[in-house]
Amino acid sequence: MRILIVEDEATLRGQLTDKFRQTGYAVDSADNGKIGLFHGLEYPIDLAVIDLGLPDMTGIEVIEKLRVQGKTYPIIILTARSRWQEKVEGLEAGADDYLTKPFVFEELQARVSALIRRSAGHATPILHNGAIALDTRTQDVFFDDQPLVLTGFEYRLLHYFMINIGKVISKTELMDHLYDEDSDKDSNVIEVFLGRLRKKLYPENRLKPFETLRGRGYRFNVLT
Amino acid sequence: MRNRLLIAATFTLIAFLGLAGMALDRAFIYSAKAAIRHQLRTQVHALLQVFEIADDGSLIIPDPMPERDLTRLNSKLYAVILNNRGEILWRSESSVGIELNQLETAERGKENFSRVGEGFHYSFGVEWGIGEDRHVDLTWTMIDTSDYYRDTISLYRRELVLWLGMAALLLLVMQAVILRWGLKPLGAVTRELDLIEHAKQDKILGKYPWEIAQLSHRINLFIENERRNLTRYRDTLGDLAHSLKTPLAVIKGITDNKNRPDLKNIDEVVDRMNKIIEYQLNRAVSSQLSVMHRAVDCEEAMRKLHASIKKVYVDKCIDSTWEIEPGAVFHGNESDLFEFLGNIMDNAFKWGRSRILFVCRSDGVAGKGYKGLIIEIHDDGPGIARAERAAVLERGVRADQQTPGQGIGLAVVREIVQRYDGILTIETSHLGGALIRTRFPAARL
Repeated sequence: MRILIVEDEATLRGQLTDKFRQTGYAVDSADNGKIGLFHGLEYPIDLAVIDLGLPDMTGIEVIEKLRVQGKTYPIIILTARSRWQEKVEGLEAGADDYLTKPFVFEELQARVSALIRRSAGHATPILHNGAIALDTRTQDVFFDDQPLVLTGFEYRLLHYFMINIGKVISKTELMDHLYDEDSDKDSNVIEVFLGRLRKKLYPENRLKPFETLRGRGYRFNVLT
Repeated sequence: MRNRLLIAATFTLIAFLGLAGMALDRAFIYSAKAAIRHQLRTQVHALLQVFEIADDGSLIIPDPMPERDLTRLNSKLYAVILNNRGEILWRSESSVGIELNQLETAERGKENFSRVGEGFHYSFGVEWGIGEDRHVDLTWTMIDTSDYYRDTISLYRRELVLWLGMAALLLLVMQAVILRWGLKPLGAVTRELDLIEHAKQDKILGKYPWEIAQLSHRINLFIENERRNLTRYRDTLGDLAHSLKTPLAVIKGITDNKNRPDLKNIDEVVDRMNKIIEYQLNRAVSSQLSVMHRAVDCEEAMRKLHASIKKVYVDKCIDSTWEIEPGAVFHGNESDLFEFLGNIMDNAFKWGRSRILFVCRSDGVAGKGYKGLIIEIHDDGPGIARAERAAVLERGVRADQQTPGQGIGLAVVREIVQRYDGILTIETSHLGGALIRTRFPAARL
């Protein structure tokens, strides 16, 4: 999952970027509204966290412009202004949730994962596909109710497949959503991690849920 | 104001017309007396022309008399001739049987005119020659006791009162009409202020005469200034809070670390600092009560907040219903209404399980034409136990007295309700959860 953080306070931006990366997200960040808007429009973002008080362009303007340009991914407002009129203004502009500063990171993370899950059309925080269950709140993965140990990137890959079950996902799309702009993008890595994931989920190779479609990408099939 | 002007004008008018009446009355009496004096003098002169004195000093009485009334009994016109000792030498036939009092002699060539009882006495002193070298001093007196004078005066007074009364009435009616016409613009200004208070318009728009235009212009400036100041306070405090809270968020980012228990104390202090800022900011911002209250449409505010909060709690799939009386208004600051409603609606979404009911209606008791307001928020959540209700309402008088983890939402709500002299109660809703009922009194104007 790739998220965008637009926050002018450098330390806070750095903290958020680090923590989100540690919890398995690809993160792009911007320190002002204009750059934030550019990232939001140009990159395949899955969710944006936008501060309201930004230089150059206010957070509200950024959100309005993103929505006018047809961007439908969830947006969380991060604001120090906690009055209801301001919250309503932000939510009316097109944001989906708000969080007032200062905040506990876990709270922000919970809301981010809830919004991503909701935007993919899942009602509960635990995503299921056959024997596989993925808890977006705790980032735990279970197979037949037995916990599975996954690395950060493996989790990210599985999470992306779990919210796009049955859809054809191109390698570029996977790259775009799993890597931020600062990462070294190597398409072979996807193949390697997918291979590891297959082995961890189905060591005996009795099922092949990850289908490779030559020239088109991958599909995570519906399991019964 | 109109009544005051009318009363003042009426008293002035009465005083003025009273004085004018008195002056006219005196002038008329003076001229009536002058006319009687003139008439009596003419009659004395007529007698002087016809009377003669014989050489032995006796009076030769003319026949006929120049004035017929002098020969008619009880004609109320009498003539008397006195010598210089005051003895009656002659009296007219008309005075037979009448007692003539206070007869006085007049000096030679002088005349006296006086009112005696109901009548008038006119006396004229004459030196009358007898033969060639003798003369006597005689006083010729004419007495008029007729009702003419009294009748004339009373008729005049009746007429005077009638006409002055009619003039007063006419003037009063005219005055009332002029006042009404003159004060009409003030009435229009009052109506406009009423509209401003009912949020139907932003400022005084009408075109008024110069004197009132000055006033309305200043009222507009005052309203504008008041609103600008309020926005400025709010922005400044918002900026202050913003500039404090972002660094707090940074500190929180460092201290909120499960692997560093040594930072727990700092983390708690940061939480407390944040709550103090939040609470005091809310108090400061909403303390700036506008003198010129505007009426805020409750339905619009509730719908806006509902749409926003529902978006945040979309996962809960709560069924929220409305009972909003159209036109119900909150007399106060829009921001206060948003803060108040936002907090209680957010609580309802937070605690409600599947159903929420919003009720907003005017309070039945009307004061000065402005109705109070009742707002009820029902939910089907766990509710608040009867024993805890007072404590929940008392909580949060000061943010730093709160235990960690308690929101300041209800404290803010309570502050706002108190400031508007409202009553906030927690009850059990028919939906099974809490019912937060607020009753705002009619606007104080």
